[in-house]
Amino acid sequence: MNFADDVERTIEKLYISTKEQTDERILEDAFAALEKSPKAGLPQSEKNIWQNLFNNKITQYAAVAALIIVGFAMFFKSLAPKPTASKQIDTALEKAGNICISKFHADGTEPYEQVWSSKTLKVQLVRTTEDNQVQFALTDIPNKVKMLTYSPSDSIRRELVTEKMVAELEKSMIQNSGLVTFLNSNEIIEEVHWQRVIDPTTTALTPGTKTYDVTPLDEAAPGEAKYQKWRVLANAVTYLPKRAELYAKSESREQYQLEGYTIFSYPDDEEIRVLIRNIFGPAGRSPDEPVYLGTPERN
Amino acid sequence: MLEDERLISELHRGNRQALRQIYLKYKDNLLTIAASLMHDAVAAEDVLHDVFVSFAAGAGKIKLKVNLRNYLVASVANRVRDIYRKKKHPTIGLEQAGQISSDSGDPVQSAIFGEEFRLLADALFQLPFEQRETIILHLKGGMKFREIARMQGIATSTVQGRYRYGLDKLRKVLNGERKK
Repeated sequence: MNFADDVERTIEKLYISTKEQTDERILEDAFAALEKSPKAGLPQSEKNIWQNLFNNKITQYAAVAALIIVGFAMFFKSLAPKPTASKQIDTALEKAGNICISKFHADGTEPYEQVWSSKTLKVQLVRTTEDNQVQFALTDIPNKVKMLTYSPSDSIRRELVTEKMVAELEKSMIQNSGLVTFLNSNEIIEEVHWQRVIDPTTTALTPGTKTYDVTPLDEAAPGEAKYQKWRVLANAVTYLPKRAELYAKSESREQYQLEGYTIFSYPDDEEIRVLIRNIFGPAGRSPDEPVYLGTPERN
Repeated sequence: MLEDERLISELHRGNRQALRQIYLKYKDNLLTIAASLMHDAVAAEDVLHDVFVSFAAGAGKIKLKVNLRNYLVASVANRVRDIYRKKKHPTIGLEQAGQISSDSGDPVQSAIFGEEFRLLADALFQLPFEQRETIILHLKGGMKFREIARMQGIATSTVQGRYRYGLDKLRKVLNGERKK
């Protein structure tokens, strides 16, 4: 066997080590950055300031008064709890039976990726474009089968789906939010900030929606993540997302630039069935005849 | 993992020794990832530098939701993508890297691996960036397809597709090279 046949193992063994001078340069700069970095918890000097303040009688009375005011404010706030926008969107997505997510590049009119996920039919269809080739992949949980084809006229490859894959897919379907990137950004970034924005341009583009900006709070977010923000347009009544735009700016640039956008729709079961039949059913068959292996209707 | 948690806890208190240990533990893996993605050893070192300086600058605020290795690998990948987005990246070549080696201690084997790795690095660079990134993050970054998908904001099946297409292309390119 030559190494081209065992390319995965060869890549795993690929190894480059740093030079000693590189280590010295990086560590020196990293230590300097660490010195300037704000430490977790309060520094000792700040703790002393607080101790001094609380030893003062007047400050003690003021602190008690402030605590009472804060207590009242929290009490009245607790009477009318208001869920955050992210929570409302999360809940709405969890309730949605079917979802279609279409992703576009900033200047694109054709989606480069589409995902149809149906909780009721327990199927997930993914359409991707790679090297100008369109691929459809259907995962059919009830029949534990995955089918792949490069176009509706191409032959269909079938693969068995393992129990582990089924479990993972079912979990992502239950939540639905697992498919929505702006709700997942905190996998890497610890905290994001949701803010309602009034933007007549976006509202005109997608009427009946509320607009939110989702920005990272974490300054220590890795790489470009801290220079990205999402603009999310959700249905003003149901809170189901309709459109999400990803903006990014590089370190030197002040203005955000549109990187890509996502359109959300919520098809019914029949729309998904027809779509699947059109792709995986044999040519010439009526779309009313379920023909592909693993039709959810059969279960 | 427990060791990493302890190091992060020490780092929160500004412990330089903890930062040094994290750097020494992950530097070569991160450099290999950056160099494989960029095909440019000098730029890869700059990426490693920027990632660690940024990591140190935010040390007090870091709260990891993923493991430290994934955090640093994601930082490297994001940084590389950022550079690619800013400008079409010129390449210098991996020959300028400090050392390229295999796990083998045998000098003859190492020589063969050296040549194979050069061919492999060249072949990797012929892949579209997205395919190269997926392969490197999975095989060298130890990231699962699901984790790569979340990081890139795409479906897991797309990541799996990119991995498969990428490997097929690599095999074709490498087999072509061998026939020459």
